Amino acid sequence: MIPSGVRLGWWLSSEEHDPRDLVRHASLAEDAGFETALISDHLRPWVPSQANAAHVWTVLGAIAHVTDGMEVGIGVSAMVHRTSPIVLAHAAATACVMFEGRFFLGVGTGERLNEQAFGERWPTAGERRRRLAEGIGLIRRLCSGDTVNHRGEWTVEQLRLATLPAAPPRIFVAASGRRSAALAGEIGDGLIGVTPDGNIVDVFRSTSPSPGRVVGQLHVSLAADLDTARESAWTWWPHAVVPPSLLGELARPEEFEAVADAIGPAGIDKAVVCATGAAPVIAAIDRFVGAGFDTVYLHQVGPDQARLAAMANGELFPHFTRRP
Amino acid sequence: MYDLVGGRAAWTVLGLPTEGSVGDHRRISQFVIQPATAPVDATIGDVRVDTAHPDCPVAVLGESRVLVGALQPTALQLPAKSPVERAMQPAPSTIRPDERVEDVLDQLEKDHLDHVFVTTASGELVGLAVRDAIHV
Repeated sequence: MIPSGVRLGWWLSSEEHDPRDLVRHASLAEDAGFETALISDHLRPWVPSQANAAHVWTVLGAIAHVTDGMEVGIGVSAMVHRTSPIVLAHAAATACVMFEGRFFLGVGTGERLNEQAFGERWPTAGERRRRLAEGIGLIRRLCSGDTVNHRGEWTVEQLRLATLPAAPPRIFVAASGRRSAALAGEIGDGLIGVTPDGNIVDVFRSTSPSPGRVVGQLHVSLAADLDTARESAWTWWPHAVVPPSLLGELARPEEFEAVADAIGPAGIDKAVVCATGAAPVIAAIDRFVGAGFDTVYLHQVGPDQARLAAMANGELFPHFTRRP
Repeated sequence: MYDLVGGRAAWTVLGLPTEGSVGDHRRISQFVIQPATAPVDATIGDVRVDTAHPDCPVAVLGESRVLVGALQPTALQLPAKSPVERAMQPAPSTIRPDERVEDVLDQLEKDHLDHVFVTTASGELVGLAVRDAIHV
């Protein structure tokens, strides 16, 4: 088979699924032909109805065991209060070994939702970017086998990791604005975006000495009829209607639920592609690729994950496979 | 030969030649490249990138060469029959041709950008200002 011109990935939503199901979904994705998957890292779900947020590194270990060739990344971990660069480097180095080179690390500036439980002040975006930048440097050194002594935003005292991968993980940086995109370009190996915004891709490419991959997340709700697709999107992913400026700032799932309820479901299909067939999904993928993304991770909202596997296998892969 | 109809400001906004203390040699209109273009009703199979600037976006044009969108080179990975209109980024950022070169370079650096489209006040494409291609 000639490689696809557009790379499609599978998004494993830790917020929505039981960890054992996530492992089954990873197998399902690989069997359907996906070459790459991303799994989210949450301490709490976005809204109470999602009802899950398993410890992602534990799930990754099982996914490494049940998949053979599929690349798997984490999208994304933050270094604010919950996770330090030491813990992240330790986990990522082990994941690299377990996945035998198929793992990459996604990092970002985080959401208050996943940090508030530690009882600390929620730092400003600038402070979080500084911690992220310094943390990435520390992770690279630790995963390369350096003995690290460091005092700054983070402290590391005389640490050398014992379990080391053959090569340190590639580190992708999530960005929704110019400053984070510039940071991704300056110190990341790739960019993770959630909207088809060509501006952040331009910033990433112009600030990177050797621009790597640009990957995006596309939410879809596929069902037998449109009403069911919209209903599923609203049931499982209602915070999609919450303004992006609030996503990082709300502290509890109940707050996301309240804001989403106040806004209402009318705009859900603007944030989630609700569809019965492949055409709207293809159009949305085209928009990401036209904006400069080379990989689009498809996140099928809700429990009917088999429907995405079937659509990908039957329609999306054939459509996007480049022919001579 | 040009007719001065809309006054001096309108003249310079169009990127037309000027003399004197605001001479045209420092206006961005004199330093743009001509990017690859595609009609908005084309398909991806019709699009060609500029081989001299393969990382630059393709300008998607409507009637009267009005810039309606931008297409990143990754779009060429799409199937040939995909509509350009569906894949393009609508309404990309633009500047006017009478911007001073130094101001444009400063702004590009501040915005962490390599390039920006230059259009007339009515939206017609003048060119693409590319940081690395501007030597002043």
